Amino acid sequence: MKIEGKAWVFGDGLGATDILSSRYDKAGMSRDWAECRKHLMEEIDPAFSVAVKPGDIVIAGDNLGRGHAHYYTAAIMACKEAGIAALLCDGVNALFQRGAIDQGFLTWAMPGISALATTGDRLAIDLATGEAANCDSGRTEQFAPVSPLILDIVAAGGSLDWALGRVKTAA
Amino acid sequence: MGSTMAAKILSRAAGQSHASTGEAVLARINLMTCLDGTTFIDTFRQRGLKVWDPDRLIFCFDHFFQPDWFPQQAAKEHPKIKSFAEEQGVPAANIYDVGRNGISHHIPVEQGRALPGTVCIGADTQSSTMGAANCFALPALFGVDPIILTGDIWMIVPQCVRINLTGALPRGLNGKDVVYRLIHDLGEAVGGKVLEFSGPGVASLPMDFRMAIANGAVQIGALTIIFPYDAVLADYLDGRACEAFEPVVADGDADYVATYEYDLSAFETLIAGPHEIELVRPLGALMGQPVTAANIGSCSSGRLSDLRLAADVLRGRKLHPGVRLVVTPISAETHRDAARAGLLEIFLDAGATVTQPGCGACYSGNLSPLKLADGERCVSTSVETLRGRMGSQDAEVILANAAVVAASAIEGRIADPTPYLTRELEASHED
Repeated sequence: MKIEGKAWVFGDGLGATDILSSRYDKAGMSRDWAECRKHLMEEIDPAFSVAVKPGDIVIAGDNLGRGHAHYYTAAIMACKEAGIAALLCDGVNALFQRGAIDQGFLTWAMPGISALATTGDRLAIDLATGEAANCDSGRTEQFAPVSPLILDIVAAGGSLDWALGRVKTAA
Repeated sequence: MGSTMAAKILSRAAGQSHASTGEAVLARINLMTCLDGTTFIDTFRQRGLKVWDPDRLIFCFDHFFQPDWFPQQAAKEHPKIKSFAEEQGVPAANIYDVGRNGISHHIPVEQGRALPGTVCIGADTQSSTMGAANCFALPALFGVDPIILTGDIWMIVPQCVRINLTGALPRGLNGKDVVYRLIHDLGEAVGGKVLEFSGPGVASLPMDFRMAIANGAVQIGALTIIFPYDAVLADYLDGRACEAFEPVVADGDADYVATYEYDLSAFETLIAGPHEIELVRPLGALMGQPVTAANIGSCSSGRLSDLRLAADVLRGRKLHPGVRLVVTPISAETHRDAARAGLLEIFLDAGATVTQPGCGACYSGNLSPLKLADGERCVSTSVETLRGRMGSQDAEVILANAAVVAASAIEGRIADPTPYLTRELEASHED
């Protein structure tokens, strides 16, 4: 599985309520993902939600997804709704990562990736091999590959469709 | 290098002899516990799906959601769960309806369903509570459907941190003070990792305290928390455990990324908030600030030892006339135990109200008489201090243990409970 797109680079400690402010809890609890998507990163980069395009790649530093798990799903679904290809980072909160992968939205730690690009650079990443390239600077890095189990879940569109496929195969 | 408790539980559940940190595994689950706000019933019905094992799926009515944006659905949630359970063959005893109810990750421990050495998943964010029973407990959040379809869960074997305890907590402190200390000290250093407790100090912590500590994993930033299997847990499970179990013990040379040493006897009463739980300070920092609302309950408190602690402070005293205090026992069993112990009478005599068991005022969308208005300051034993969490965006929530909440409700301001505490409290450590 390969992705290529424009990078948006954020720093360490990008929390769920940074991705989507808790003031949109009502939209999240009502599962109004289109409304959530309009407010992505609103408090840290007001231009982001207008400028982000499908296929773009969001890069974060360490400790991505900190904060209360109540707010994870709305943040994840808002990213997914915007068509963001993946959320890659130096380090991720395992629970946030679980929420994202369950929704078929790849969130994966590749320690060091935040140094590979600045916002606006074009990145090309082969998730199965861990090869990453900055198409603008020409710099390449080798990261640990994403687990095949995880890529299967993401490729299926999330853990429900993946599980349905397994049940069907078993039957 | 030896194995952590987490790696042992996950490798056993995955049917492997060993699992390495960072390895993705499929782990068999022993229990799924759901709150009364479900997200999967329509999916199962529309697609004609069957849960993997109806005996291992339980529902606990706890939130009694009443948010203003889906009042109609809220009224239908409990009947919907019950009809779904019947369709799926989930035994009636697995529905913890009013009279037997309680918070979804407390009930499995109290009722002996969350067992040592197993993987127990909950739908609620705070499901790590069950880790007090030496199990690997995790919130599934919106990922319940695939888990109850297949009975397994994908896991990346997590890094683990050891918390080694000595000593015993001073009188008037409880698990909440331990959680706040860990939030203060560790925070991002343990982000996404599992905290495994060890050391002679663990024996001084009753199960109520362990559940309150394990409950705090998400707030600390950890993936989950696991307590060792010891005499305290063995005694607690005696007569409760619903089936045989095999505990796990961490190897002496287990693969911990860090070890933190704590002497419990050096702990002090801490408060968290307002607005950010990472804002943890000694009680003195906010002492004297006026409060108009007080709340004792939620999954990080509301257990019998919390109620005893509050009652010890409130016995024979009256609330400040400008303060309303709402007490919500964590479960029906705790509610009954509190009644037998005479604690409810103490609360009512003081001028507090006691609600149906469950999550209570912790989240403003729950059925509770306590909603914060603009400009209010509330002192609460609950889980979160975020803006708007208990009502108005312009209210403050200060988090503390039940003794601080009770003392503050008497004085109408954040207060030190020490002058109110009596020796009778010692009994609480026996619970």
